[in-house]
Amino acid sequence: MNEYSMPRYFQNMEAIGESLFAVDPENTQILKNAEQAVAERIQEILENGKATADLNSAGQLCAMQRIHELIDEGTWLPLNSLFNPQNNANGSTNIVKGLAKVSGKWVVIVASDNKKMAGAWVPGQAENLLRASDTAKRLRIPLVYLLNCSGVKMDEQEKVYPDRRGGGTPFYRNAQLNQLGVPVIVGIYGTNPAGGGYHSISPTILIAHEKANMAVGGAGIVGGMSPKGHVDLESAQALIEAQKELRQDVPGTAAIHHDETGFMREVYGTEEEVLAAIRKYIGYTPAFNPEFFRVDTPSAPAFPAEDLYSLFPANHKRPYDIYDVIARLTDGSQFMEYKKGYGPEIVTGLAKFDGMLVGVVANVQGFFLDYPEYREDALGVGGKLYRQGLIKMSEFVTLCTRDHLPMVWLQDTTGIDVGNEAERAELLGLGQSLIYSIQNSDLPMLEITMRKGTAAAHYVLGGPQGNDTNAFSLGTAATEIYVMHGETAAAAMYARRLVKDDAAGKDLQPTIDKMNQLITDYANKSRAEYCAKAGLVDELVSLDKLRDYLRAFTAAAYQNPKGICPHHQMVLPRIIADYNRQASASAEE
Amino acid sequence: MEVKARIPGKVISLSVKEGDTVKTRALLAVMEAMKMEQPVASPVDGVVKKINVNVGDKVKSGDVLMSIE
Repeated sequence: MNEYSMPRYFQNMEAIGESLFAVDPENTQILKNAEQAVAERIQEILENGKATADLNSAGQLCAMQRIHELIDEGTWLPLNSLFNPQNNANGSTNIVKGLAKVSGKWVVIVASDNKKMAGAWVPGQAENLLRASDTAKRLRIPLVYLLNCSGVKMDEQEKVYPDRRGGGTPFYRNAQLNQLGVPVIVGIYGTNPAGGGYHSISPTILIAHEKANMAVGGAGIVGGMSPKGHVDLESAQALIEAQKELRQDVPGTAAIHHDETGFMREVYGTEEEVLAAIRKYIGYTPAFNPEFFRVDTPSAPAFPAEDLYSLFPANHKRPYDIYDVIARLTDGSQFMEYKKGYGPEIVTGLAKFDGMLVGVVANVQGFFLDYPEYREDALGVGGKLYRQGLIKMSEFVTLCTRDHLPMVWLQDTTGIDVGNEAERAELLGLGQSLIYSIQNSDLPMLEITMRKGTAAAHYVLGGPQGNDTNAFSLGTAATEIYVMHGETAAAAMYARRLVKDDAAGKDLQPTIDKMNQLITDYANKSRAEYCAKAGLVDELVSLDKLRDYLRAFTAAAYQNPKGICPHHQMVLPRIIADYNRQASASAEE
Repeated sequence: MEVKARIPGKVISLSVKEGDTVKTRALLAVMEAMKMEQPVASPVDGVVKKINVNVGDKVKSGDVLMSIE
């Protein structure tokens, strides 16, 4: 066994959390039912399209079979399973995406969903692909395509093919990943014309199945290149002849792109051999052994994840103890808190996942008597952000930047405090200041909207808007994201109308009906499944699986990091230790 | 031992009655302020001796909700 640096800091973090007082069967049921519904919907979407048995009898594996054959067993962590922002009828953007380990290294995987229209580009797919390259870029881990892409869905080309963040953008992203030294590896199956061809050629290394082809244009396009502006019987007949001929001579097979151009580095007769070759090349890519960055032996939390179903209320009006939640996520339930007590609505501190250090920020729920300090007779409410919490977070992010620590945000917020006292207390400036600190950090971050993501607080708490830092974001079955509560919005929109109508002696009911419609609309468009479909979160994760994603994020962030701070040169742990020493000395006085 | 309201708010439920035996951390009551709930847990093992509030009562922070022996 190895020894670790600075054990008096990192192996002696405070153990937090209490054992569960009582199981809450009602809350457990609500959360598990919601998680079950999400899991069933994901399965249904995966199953849509051609049956796996039909693909298999045609000699093809389906996307999920390819993924499981490729990866280290038990490491698959799907992302954007419900993503379908443009409402495709099959519920999917025709790709399957996630994080997994391949040859012991974390990678992002994108697999064409060959059950659906032979993996065609459909509306929303480009955005999903861009998120894959965002994750690969931010974590500096390889991007693997299991490509089987028939190109643009012809009758929706206007939503698929062009645009600033459209069909062509992933190819620029692949170029950018290469520039950054992040390898992109593709296994090519089936027919990949046009867009599929560029998906094939833009990666770093191309491995192909012997029956695969990739081309600037497919057989259909080559056959239909002399249009009269309309189709008549003569041109239809010509098309039939051309098509028959091209069927025998599909452009861009391995005979061209392996034997002649040499674009395809290796070609294999079986699907499995293609996947084995991808594993081989991932094996050639750089990755630190996690032991290099460890500060402690990995350990499980001291409390079971199952406790979360009782102590984390689905009802957003109910508070919970954030220390109890963190204690179900971190190694050994340990947490080294930064400036405990200052900015009590926020908890910041260091934790370990698989023995590696991460900076954690979380909202605190409940009430704070005589807080915030800038209000008289104040009663602070958990989930809100006040002056001290905002300042503390900016400090903490800045210190994590200094010490090169990846960050995790456990978000559950109702917004930043409002009113003239809040303005005088500079909250508008401090919120943006935190956004600056995050952007300035250039750190990989994972944000989990545990329950509420509201107003600008959703941005400043490590939200997905931080495109350069946020690797991906997660939600739970209890997630709800909106600019404000529906009732607040209805009041904001219709209060003046009510006053006017009331003064004019008009019937108030039509306005009341509109207000209630707005409230219902807000509820429908903020609940967890909507958030996942729209991409407001990148996956809804069961409470007992959150730690898996946290461990994967941490290990991926340390796999090939952009910068390193030697453990013995970190300042944050010293600041925490000295702050705590001073705080306990003044408490004794 | 007196169990006091930590925050000003409304008592929205009582989970115990006088004479009940309670354990430390057991739920005694739920209060509400600013649309958010705040559970009140027992600070000790004991018996609920006297309850000073009813559901719906508004209390100030520091008001004695009940006493436990």
